[in-house]
Amino acid sequence: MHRRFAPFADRVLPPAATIAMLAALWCVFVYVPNERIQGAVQRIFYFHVSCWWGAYLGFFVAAGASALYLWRRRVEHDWLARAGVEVGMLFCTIGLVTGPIWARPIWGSWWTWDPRLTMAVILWTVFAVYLVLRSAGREDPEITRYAAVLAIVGILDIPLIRISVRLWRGMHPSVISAPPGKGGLDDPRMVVGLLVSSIAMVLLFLWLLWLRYEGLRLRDWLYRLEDRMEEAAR
Amino acid sequence: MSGSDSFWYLFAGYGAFWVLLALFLAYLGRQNRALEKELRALESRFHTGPKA
Repeated sequence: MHRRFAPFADRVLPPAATIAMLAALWCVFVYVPNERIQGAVQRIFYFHVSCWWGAYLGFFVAAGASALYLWRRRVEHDWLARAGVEVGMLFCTIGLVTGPIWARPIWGSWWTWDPRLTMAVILWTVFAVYLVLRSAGREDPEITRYAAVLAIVGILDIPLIRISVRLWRGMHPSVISAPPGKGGLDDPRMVVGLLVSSIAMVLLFLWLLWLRYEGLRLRDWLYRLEDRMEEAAR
Repeated sequence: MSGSDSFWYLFAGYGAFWVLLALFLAYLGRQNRALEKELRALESRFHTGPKA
């Protein structure tokens, strides 16, 4: 699996992510029109929403890999889970920072304890706990198992984030599911802008995931070498 | 809200994106440097041989 994916990841992902990111920036700052009520600040939306796709992807990858780790106890699945959480946390943090920057001029407040926002903070906290658990140097199998369970439980919050706007009638806009003219994307160019930004963010996510996975794989290799040298020295 | 205010928030939003991405890349770089340091320590141990 690793050997088959490595040439693609090393040769294709860096240029693809760079080109897609440049295209996304061109769309956001040049191609899409100003939203008629919110003005220029609405353009934060394109990267804000796309970053949440990156966060959800990271946490789903982590949960899937954690389930595989608990089932098969293969260390590769644990590296993938940890890399997924770390990259997912990057995108989740960007989403939580860019949201209030949009909210301040539109809602008149940096933050409200709206159901979707509260659920998003809970998601960030759960996976921050995962990273704290994993931050101790060499891997303890028991902690790795607890962390794997936490990653699986943690993603149960994601469907709640998605449905919270409809379920508890929060303030957070539901732009993608809203019809045009009622808070949705009024212009087809806005849909293109969101699509290109989302593709760019997914490619960036895959590239960062790969870099982190490789780092964890090489570190594990190094630890095994050290252990073998110590055994040989005895 | 004036147009200049709107642009200030817009650039703050995209600035935050690039700053956080740069911090993550710095974290990856630090991890790689730590790995390289450990590899060099292992290499020097390999050349000097196990201590009695």
